Amino acid sequence: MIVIEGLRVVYRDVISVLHGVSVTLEDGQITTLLGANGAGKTTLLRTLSGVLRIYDGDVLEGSVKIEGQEVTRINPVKIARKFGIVYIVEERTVFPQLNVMENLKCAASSRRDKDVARDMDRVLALFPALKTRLHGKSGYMSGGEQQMLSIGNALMTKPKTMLLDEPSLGLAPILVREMFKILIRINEEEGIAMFLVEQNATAAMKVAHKGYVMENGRVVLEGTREELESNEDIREFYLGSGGEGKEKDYRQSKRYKRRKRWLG
Amino acid sequence: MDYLIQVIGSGIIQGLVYGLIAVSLVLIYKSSGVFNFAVGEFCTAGAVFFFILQSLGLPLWVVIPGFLLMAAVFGGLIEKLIIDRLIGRDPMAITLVTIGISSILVGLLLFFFGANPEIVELPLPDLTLEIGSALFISSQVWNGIIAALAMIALLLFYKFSTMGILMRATADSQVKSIVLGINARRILTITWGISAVVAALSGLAVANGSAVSYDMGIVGLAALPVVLLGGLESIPGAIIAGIIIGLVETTSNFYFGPWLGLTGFQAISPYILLLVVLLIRPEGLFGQELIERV
Ligand SMILES: Nc1ncnc2c1ncn2[C@@H]1O[C@H](COP(=O)(O)OP(=O)(O)OP(=O)(O)O)[C@@H](O)[C@H]1O
Ligand SMILES: [Mg+2]
Repeated sequence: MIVIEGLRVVYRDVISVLHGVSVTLEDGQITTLLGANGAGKTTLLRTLSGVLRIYDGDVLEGSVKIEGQEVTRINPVKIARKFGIVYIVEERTVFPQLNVMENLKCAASSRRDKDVARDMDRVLALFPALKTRLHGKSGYMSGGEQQMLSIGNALMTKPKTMLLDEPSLGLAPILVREMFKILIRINEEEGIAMFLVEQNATAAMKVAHKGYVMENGRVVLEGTREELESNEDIREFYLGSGGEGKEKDYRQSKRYKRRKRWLG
Repeated sequence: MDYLIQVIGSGIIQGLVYGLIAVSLVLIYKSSGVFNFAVGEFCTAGAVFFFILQSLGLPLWVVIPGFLLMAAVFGGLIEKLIIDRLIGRDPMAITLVTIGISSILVGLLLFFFGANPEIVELPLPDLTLEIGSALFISSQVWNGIIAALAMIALLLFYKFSTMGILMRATADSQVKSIVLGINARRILTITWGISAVVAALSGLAVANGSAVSYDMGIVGLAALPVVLLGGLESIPGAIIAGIIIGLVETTSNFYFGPWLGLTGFQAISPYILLLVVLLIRPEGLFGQELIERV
């Protein structure tokens, strides 16, 4: 279990981005995090994976506990290895100058167990498209193939938890559906927990067990999938239904009120 | 005609050595965007390590792995003690630091090794080559062989070994390697160690048949047009550009210089070539295409 409590994060000592975020990720569950551009979703993933420092960010307050252990001061390599956290970054965790084989080998390089070859076969079975591209530079593959390789790389680390930063970004709708199906399969078959950051709320809601909504560095809403799906605000602002056909001014003032309620 | 063979042969041998120095630079540049201005001193240090072990009277099969190991530790230590503390800074800032490292190393070499050049001679079979009236003395031939073998070994290592793949991965993206649990910092340390090994072999090829002195590091300057010509990120580029620059130097020395009536023309000829190439291809002959895709 990963428990994030009251997290306050700044960049360059002054740019305050997270203002007291609390999120809990249960083992083996898919948790989604929705929010508009600039809400601080990526920042939360950077903090959780420990790479925040690289971006000149700092945790001012709050804690991130993985299996009870505080990790905000721990080196990201150790977080990845010891706690099985793997982070699929928005730009995709793929090395463009390396071919598919080399990518998968690299991703497994910190492992000491003997199942690497077996896992490589599993990844290729999961993403057959990669098989045809084993020896070409991965940077030349299509966006969809690269996202598959990115997930494949993540799997090669034998993770307990996958952090996914907008994996659907730039993919055609049919590919998005396919990818989410595969994510569910990975979650169910391997019991890998997922923290799924998305702007594609409809797709994310379908696969998640529970979710959070973030705005301007704060969690404004949380709940199980059912709770969120039936929430009127979510339906209106993220799932694109309800509220249609109403006058614009009215809508805006309504949204403003709701926001106030969320923030309060 | 015999002149031509002499000129081309010497150019290629010289070029292989330049290429090897350039490879040492490219390894570090690729992985961190840092241009190591101390590369010349890395060469000198390698040759000095060789000289020290050899003057202890050790057999060649001990001296060779021994001095390479010393070079690896030397490069790794410099990274660990100095560069590692600067990680996260602008690569340009670290590049400037390497100029400082270069000066300090020259000072240390002068202090510990002294101002007198020492003769370096690899005890290897005589491979003196005579083609017509062209003559390649044994040490020259061996230096070409050393440089060529070192390049092949490095290329194979970089392409196929797990460490080579990891070095290329971290060169692609440090953050992506880190989130996959790859210890990118350790790999950077190892990269400096390997770069120092490559420089040490270049240093040996420069000193063998002549001498090593504390200020031998100026050969590092010869690698400058080579990496710029080959593209800072390309190892094959460094090798090919090395050979081109070697050929340009010897041909200008034998032909163009006298023809133009300019002594010392060979020293500036690489830069003239460089200017022309950079005007046409600013990323160098073999600059790596950036693969970008959104
Ligand atoms: N390295 C950085 N230095 C300074 N400010 C940053 C840095 N990275 C992000 N920010 C700022 O922090 C805020 C939150 O950014 P973040 O990337 O976490 O948002 P996000 O929710 O992931 O947005 P998006 O949906 O666009 O990816 C933004 O205002 C951004 O400009
Ligand atoms: Mg983001």
